[in-house]
Order: sequence, then C-alpha cells, then structure tokens
Amino acid sequence: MKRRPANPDLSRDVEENRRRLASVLGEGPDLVYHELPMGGAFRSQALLVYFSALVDEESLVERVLEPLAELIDDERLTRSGLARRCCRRLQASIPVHWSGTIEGVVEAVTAGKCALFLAGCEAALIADVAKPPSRQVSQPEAEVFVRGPRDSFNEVLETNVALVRRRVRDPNLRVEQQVIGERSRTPIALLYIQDLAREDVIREVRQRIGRIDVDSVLDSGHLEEYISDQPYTLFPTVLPTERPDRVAGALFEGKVAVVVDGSPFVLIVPATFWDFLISPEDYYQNPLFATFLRWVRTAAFVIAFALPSVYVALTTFHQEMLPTDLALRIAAGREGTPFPAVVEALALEVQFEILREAGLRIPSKIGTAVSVVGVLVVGQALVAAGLVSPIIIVVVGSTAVASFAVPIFEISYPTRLLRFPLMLLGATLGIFGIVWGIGFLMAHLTALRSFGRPYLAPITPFRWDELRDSIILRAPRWAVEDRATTAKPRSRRKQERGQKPGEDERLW
Amino acid sequence: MVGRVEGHVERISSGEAISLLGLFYSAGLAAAPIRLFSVAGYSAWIAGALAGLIGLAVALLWARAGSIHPDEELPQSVVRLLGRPLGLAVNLLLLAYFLSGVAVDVRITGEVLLQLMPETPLFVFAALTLAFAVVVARLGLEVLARIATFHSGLVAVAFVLVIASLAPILEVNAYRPVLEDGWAPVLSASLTPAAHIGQAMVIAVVAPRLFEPLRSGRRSPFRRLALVSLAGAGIAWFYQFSFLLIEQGVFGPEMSMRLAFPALEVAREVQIGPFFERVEAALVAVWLPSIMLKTAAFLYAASVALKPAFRSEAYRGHVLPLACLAGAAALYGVDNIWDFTRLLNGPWAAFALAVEVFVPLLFLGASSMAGGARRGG
Repeated sequence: MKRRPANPDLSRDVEENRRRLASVLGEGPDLVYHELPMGGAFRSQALLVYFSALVDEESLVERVLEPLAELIDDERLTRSGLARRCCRRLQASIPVHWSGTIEGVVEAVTAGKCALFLAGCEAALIADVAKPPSRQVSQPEAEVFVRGPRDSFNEVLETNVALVRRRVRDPNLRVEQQVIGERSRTPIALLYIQDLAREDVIREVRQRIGRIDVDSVLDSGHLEEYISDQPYTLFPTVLPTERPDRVAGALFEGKVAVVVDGSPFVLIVPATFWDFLISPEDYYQNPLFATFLRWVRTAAFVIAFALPSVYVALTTFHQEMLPTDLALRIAAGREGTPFPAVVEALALEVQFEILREAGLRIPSKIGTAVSVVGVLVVGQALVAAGLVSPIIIVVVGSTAVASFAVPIFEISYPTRLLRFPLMLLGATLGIFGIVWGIGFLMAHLTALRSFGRPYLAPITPFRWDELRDSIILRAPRWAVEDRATTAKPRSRRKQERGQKPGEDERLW
Repeated sequence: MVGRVEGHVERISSGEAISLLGLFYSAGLAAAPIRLFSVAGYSAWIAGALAGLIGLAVALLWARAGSIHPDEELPQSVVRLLGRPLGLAVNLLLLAYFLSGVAVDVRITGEVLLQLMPETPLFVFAALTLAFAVVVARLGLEVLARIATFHSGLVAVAFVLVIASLAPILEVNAYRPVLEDGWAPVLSASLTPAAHIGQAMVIAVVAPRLFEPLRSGRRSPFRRLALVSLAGAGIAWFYQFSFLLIEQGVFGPEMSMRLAFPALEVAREVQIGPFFERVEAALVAVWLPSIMLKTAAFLYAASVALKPAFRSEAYRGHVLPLACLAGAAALYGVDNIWDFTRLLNGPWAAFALAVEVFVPLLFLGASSMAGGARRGG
C-alpha cells in the first residue's frame, strides 16, 4: 500500500472535495456520491464516490459498506483515529491505498475503484472493488482449431494475463503494467520471461510504447500502429492473436507479448512473415501432417496472391505455355466474351471483395446467404450472359478460398490488395511483369524487420539450425532442442538431448 | 534497431556472398556463347572450360587484393595506397568497369525479353530493370544478398529441370573433333566468357561487409575471401559451362553461332512430360531476377567506387545518377542486337578483362612496394 502523501492537494473538508471532484467528473446517473455518517460520539461525515456501472456491487456492500457500517456506532472512535480505523477495517478484506490528489482519485474512480473521503483527512482511501462489464472467456472466433485449447482472450487485461499465467507458471514471467492514452487511460501489460527474452527486444518494446503520447488507445490495433517497425508497409510486423496458448508458446520462445485492456487480441513481437502462416495447432498434431499443412498454407498464400495475374499473363501473352487441350478449352470458354482477361479478372475480384465486405457487415444469417448467392448465382449469371468466361470464375473462386487458408487473417490483407497491381503487370508485361512485381515485393520484405529480427528469417537470412521448426518443416518436438534466435543466446537450449521416445529402452 | 540509417554497417554471410556471386552466371549465359562457337567451332566447350579457369584465376587475384585491407572497401584502399590522383584514376577505371557492366546487363535483359515480347519497347525493359536495381542497391548489400540467397534455390531447381529434360537429346558427335585448329582459337574464344566469370571481382568491394569481419576466425582473410570468391565464381561458371555443353549438344556449333541467344533457343526445347512444353517464358522468368540482382550488385559497386571521389561516407546518393548514366548507355550506346554482340565480344570483353587483370596486379604491386618500403624503414 502506498504511504499517505506529504503534500496532498485534497481538502480536509469533505464538501469541498466533493465540489472539486464534481468539477472534474461532472454529474452523471452512474456517478454515485454516497454520504455516510461516521463516528460514535463526534459525528463525523464521510463520502464514498464510485461509478455504479464499474464496481462489483457485492464487493462494495460486503467489503466496504458493511465494515464501515460497524464504525458508525462505535463509541470508542476518535476524530484523530478515524482514518486509521477505516483503513485497517477495509484493509482486512480488500486492497486499499491512499490518494492525496484529485488526479489520483479520478484515475481510481474511472478505473472502477471507490474513493472514501473522511472529514478532516487530506487524502482519500481507495478501495479496489472494480468489476467493469466484460465477456466471459469463450471460444476463439478468428483462430478456430480442431484440436487444442478452446479458451480465448477477452477484453479484460487481468483475465488475459491470468490466462497466460495459467500456462506459464515460470517464476521468471514478468508482467510490466503501464497506462497509455492521456484521456482513455488504458492499462497495458508487457509480458516476457526474464531469462529467455532478449534484453534489447524488451528495451525496444518499452521505448516504443514509452514514446506514445496520444489521447486514446482503445484496442491493440491502435497500439500496433505506433510500435510497428515500418509504418507504410501492408505486411504486419506485429502478430495479433486471441489464443493464450499461442502467447504462451511465444513467451517460451523468448518473445514479448503486449496485452491491452479492452482488446481481445494480444500482440506478439518480434514476428516474422512465416509466423503468420504457422498455427499453434501444428504442435498438437502429427509432425509430418503439420509439415504438409504448412506447405499447403504457403501454396494457398501464393495462389491467393498470384493466381489471377498468372492466368491473365498466360492467356494474354504466353498461350504456348499451356498444354494444347487446356488452351483450347480456355479459348472456347472465352469465345464471345466482350472483355479482355484482365478486365474480367479485375471486375470479378472487385465483385468478390464487395461480397466479402457485405457478408461481414450484415447479420450472420443473411450474410451467409449473401455470400452463396453472390458467388454462385451472380457468377453463374455472368457466365450465362456471356459476360465472363467460366474459367475466370474458377480462378477467382480458388483465389478467394486460398485467401482464407491462413491462420492469422492479417497476412491475407497484402495479398488481397497487391494482387490488383500484379494483375495489371501481368496484363502489360506478361509473366515478366509478374516477376518484376514479385522482385520489388521481395526487396521490400527482405528489408523489413520486426524488432530487429529480419522479416523473412530463417529462410533468408538462412539459418540452418532454425529450419527444424519453420515453414519448411515441423520436426517432432523431441528433435527441436534449441530455441530460435529470438531468445537470449545462453537460453537457447529448450530441452535436454535424447528425448526421442524409446531411445533408452528397447521393449522388443 | 528501427529502420536503417546511413553509416549502419551491414553484414552478409559467406553463404549469402556465394549465392550472390553464383547469380553472375546470368549475363554470360545469355551473351557469351556466340563468339565461343564462331571462333572455336567444335572446340567451344574446351574454350568454355578454359574460360572457367581464367575466370577463377581472376577471382583469386581479386580475393588477394581484397584481403590486403579487409576492413576497408577496395576503392578507399586504392586511394590510400596509390595516393589521391592515381588512386582516383584507378577508381575511375573501376567505376567505368562497373557502370559498363550495368549497361551491358540492362541491354542483355532488354534484348532477351524482346525475343519473347517483340512489340514492347526496349526502353520499358531497361527502365524496369534499372528501377529494380536502384531500389535494391539503395536498400543495401544485406537486402541484395538475401534476395540472392532466396532466388538461388529456384535457379538450382530450374537448372536441374533443364538438364534432366535435355540430357537425353544431346548429340555426342557435336563435341568432336577436338582442337581441330589448335589452341589459338580456343584461347581467343575463351576471353569473353572469362571476362564474365571474372566479374566475381565484386567480392573485393564487398569484402568488409562479410558477416564475420575477415580478421576474425581461424582462417586468414585471404583464405576466407578466396573460398567465397572461388565458390561463387565456380557456381557461375558451372551454370554457364553446363548450358554451353547443352547448346553445343543440342544445336551443334554451326547453328549455335547463328542464334542471337542460344540459351533461349535451348529453353524452347525443354519439355517436362507431355504436359509442360514451351516453358521458355517460365525459364526466362527464373533467369530474369538473376540478371536484375547482378545489375543491382554492379550498381552498388559502382556507387561505392565513387565514394572516394566525393569523400563521402554514404553511397546511396550516387545510385540514381549512375543508373541514369548506365541506362542511357544501354539504350543509345549501340543501335541493334548485332552491334551489341560485336561490342560485347570485342571492345567490352577486352576492357573488362584488362581491368579484371591489371587493376589487382597494380594494387598488389603497389601494396608490396609499400610493404617493402615500410620494412626498409
């Protein structure tokens, strides 16, 4: 508990304090000024202030009001001992501290705590009875797994930290809490395992958060924009997740997590490009199958990014590359269509983006219908009307499906946007235009870093020792003995050697 | 940690340097064979092998030169060792060499792509190649080398596919008779491809940027630099020589010498099963990043070579002006592909090989004399 401040700016007069507080907080239906008579013989006055919507009423009654009520008729109570008795009485059942400034009281009350002003006392006693409205811990919606834990973060910082602590019972787990946002006063927490996370990364995260000077931070998405390495890139360099198991896994790899109150998404740094294509579910499945899934996701990313432009380039410039039968079928399908392949592809991609956006905005029951109607009926109608060829429906449909096959949705944003210029390059310079486009993209991605870690590591720069758990391979857990270079060099060893099952005993 | 700043020392690993040098196969693959076939005839493959030996010797020579002051970029060492007037003159020579390399690469890229897309203006191809080179060179050697590492895997796969597809149709008689006109035409023919393989001398410029400073570790700076340059130049030569063997085995020397780009014609012959045929565009799409990265590497080297002249610490300001110069030379230096081929196999090859051989000899000689003078007190 904090000591009582030496130079308080609160008054000894309760009414004066009420006026000062009202001038800051105003009057509102949920702001309660609860007057309490105090003291047995000398009849003092007390004032309890709180926001009714933010406090836990049960705690307020049982842990604050009832203990205080016992003091009302206490004949032994003296004026000088009132504050001390109140404090001791409350301290027995709930965390309390003194605040001597209006700012401190306001910060506490807006955070859901209650403040007790006592006559003749220059400080307010703050009791933590906060219970802001929140969701229960529920199943994840953006990262759904077949196998694996089913809990996800919610909007309460303490709950989110608890979900991580439940998985990381390491005493070296550090939780650094601070407040950002001049007006929103949003609590955030930095999580890392002290003997695993690199000092320079922790320092960098602290620095980047420390220099944020804004009015409000309402979600981890706000924070992400302030701490990203490259503000103008489409590619995410911070990994948002709603899964506590992913955060716990990242902490064990020496990474740092940032929890923002009010957001069900926790940020993980550093994050490489490949992290967005790797799912925690990979570690709950057969390693060979998980490896296959990683390849599938990579292929899906490439298809989502480049398939329409390759189609445009092949049909416009390089028909000779297509096998004769396929080329004839495409030509037959395109016969009589009024638009060149690039216009067809661009129009249908735009159409699909509109449908996707519409599907997100309208209620879920109708949304599904809109998507199905859009894709099937509108597509079929366009083909029947002879406006587009059937093959382009296949191409756009495959692209759309592929864009959903990534575990973290943020990585599909660049593919959705960049496929348009890539289509134009394919339409003007054929396959070589696409190569140029990808070349520029590679240059950009290679130059990107996430908190000092190259964005394409461990593929380039090539790190042989990290390949065992990478987009290329998910080796069995017993074979991955070392952590990636995100961890401190001295803490690279993850497990002892010889963990392969059956290595030390031969049953047959 | 955030972003990149001028003066920030970038480091590339030995593997990344080898990958980058390995991609230097690209220009020689497209441009070198014509003179090989026209001068050496059936012995073109021997000339190709000899070119490899000469090129590797040149790479070794530059590794020696680069290892004398391994903590310093070569253009700065040249000025320090030879004095400012002579040093700047030698750097001007190096600058001309690198810039001509950029111009040649840009023109080769344009001409090869014109074979596949004849209606597109050469200017478009040149502009796009240079734009890529400028962006990558400005991003720095780290980015350049890492893209090269990523791309070199793709090149290796494409190369294996080409070999697997064409090996069955190679004609053994196309390699005989051997040395029918003696060694003279073979030696003469080998100079152009040797000049291309010798371009691995860029290693001397990137020497101080190797991942672990050259002075550290068990091996001496020369041995480490030699290992990198020989491996890189060796890979480049291996690709070039393999393609030369395929061209000779598929078309024979008479037909090959009449083709503007025999490698492109070879690519047209590649067929993988009954499904994939006429994949030359796809193979050119694999080759294209190689030559674009080589162009970027030479633009980077040219920009570094200009640093001592302006006494500047940063090279990035030089990149765009030098790219414009090289672009103008590539577009307006010669009128057509035949003039370009003559230039490439005549004056340019002679100039390139002269720089590749005499500059390091001059540098090593001066260094040796300076060392002798110091020892003599």
